[in-house]
Amino acid sequence: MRVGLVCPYSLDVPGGVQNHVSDLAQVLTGRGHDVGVLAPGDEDVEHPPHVTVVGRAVPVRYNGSVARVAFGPRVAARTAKWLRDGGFDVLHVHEPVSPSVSLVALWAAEVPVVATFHSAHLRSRTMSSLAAVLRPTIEKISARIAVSESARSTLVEHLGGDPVVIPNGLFCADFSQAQPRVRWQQPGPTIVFLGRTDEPRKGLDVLLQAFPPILERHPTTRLLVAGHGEVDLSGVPGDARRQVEVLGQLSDVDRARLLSSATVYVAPQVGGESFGIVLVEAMAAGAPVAASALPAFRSVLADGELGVLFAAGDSTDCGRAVSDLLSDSSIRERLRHSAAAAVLRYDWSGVTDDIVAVYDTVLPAGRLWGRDR
Amino acid sequence: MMGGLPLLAVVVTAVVILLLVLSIWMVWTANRLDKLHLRCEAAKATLDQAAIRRSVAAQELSLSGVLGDPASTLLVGDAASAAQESTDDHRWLAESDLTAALHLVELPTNGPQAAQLSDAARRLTMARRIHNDVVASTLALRSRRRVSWFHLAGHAKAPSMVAFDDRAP
Repeated sequence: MRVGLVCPYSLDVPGGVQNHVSDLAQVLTGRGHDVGVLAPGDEDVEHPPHVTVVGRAVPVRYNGSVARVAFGPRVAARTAKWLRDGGFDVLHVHEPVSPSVSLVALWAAEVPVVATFHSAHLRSRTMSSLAAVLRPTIEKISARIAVSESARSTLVEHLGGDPVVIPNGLFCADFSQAQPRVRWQQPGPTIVFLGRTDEPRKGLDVLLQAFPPILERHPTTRLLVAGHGEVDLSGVPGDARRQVEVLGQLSDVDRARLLSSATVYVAPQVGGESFGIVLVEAMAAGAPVAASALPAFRSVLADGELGVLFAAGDSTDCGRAVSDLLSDSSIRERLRHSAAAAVLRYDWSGVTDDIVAVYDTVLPAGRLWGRDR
Repeated sequence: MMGGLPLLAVVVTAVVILLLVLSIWMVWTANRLDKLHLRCEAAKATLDQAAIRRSVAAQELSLSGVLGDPASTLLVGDAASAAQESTDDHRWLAESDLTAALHLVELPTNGPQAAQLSDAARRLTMARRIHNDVVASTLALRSRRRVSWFHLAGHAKAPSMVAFDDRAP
């Protein structure tokens, strides 16, 4: 079938939603579907042939963070043309309640629309004050997908109804087959942090404070910090600082190798997480996970069955949880084993099956006959 | 012996007159300061009202659907409601965000909502200037030595300038 995917955020900047859309396009194409992607981006940058760039993205403050999106009358005209030329059977928009091309495409759509909601946060004031203008557009969605239980409950709270939960996809093999690097494994155990280092809600400070107590119990431990941004180590005492290694931003391949090298992967995020794809990546790479007990993380870790949980923002509890995990190799082995089986439900093979099933459901009954799968 | 008494009387009289002049001056300064504080409060109230008026005008504009595409509608509507909702420290940040949002979308050039918004935005700019002007005068007077030595400001809190992006859309 012909599927139109709309990504709200610039494809030139990495991010969860962008990766999800690119990967989904790739998998659907691999299964013989005809896929077109519409997204903002830089026209001078080369994009794959199935991608249509709708206009340059501008940074906009929305929903508590800065998003790079495109909108306006020119974008609306281009979107309408893309929809006309594409002749899609299904339109799949991502994050439709954002000031972006996703909402514009939904507004202009004349074919069945599937919408995926990634965020676990919508401002209720906005939703109630704009209900009159947004409702008619949102009502055009034939099927709604939430990427997590927290995203789902946000949706139900503001828009009602009964959205389907389909998690973000992951190519599990890229992680399970990643080769560990010796210098990230030795000497002694390694703790890995992944994520923006200068964004407080990613919680690096919590882990840095927890690190000296961890060293008291496990003196040879090293902390490997990877991710975009400056790292402020001024709060870490001198001896502990020597055991911290800052790696900067890594390529996708190196990310996977880093996770597969880790003795323990720590996710000290303090809030604002809707899904926690990096936890799934760590689990797929075979790294035992210690994570803060945010709702999204609890659900990925099956309430502690697939990883260790500690109180969010509590560096004492974080240090205790990580130290305990470092002390007990049998627990690590058990977590590794159960996580490896559990992550398969996030693999693109199953996730794509589910998404295609949603497409089939919204297609008019007549289309079901004689279409190619 | 004869001249001692008048000299003392002269000195005493001079001191009394000096004290009298000094205290009149102090009372007068305290009065000026008091009036300035009152004007600060009034200017702040006007500024608050002007900001609310602009965010309401922006919200009405987005609700009227004249912004063309729904993404612009959502952006302006969200920024306007965030401005109405935010308090204290975040207040003026949210107003700056609203200004930025109004600059990003293509606003209609005519129509009642557009006219209302541009009027509200102009008044907001004016209100902020007037407010900061009286705050500057008040702070200048408060920084005088006699004000702190004689505690002339009483318990009135020092007013502060309001800074945010209020370019006309």
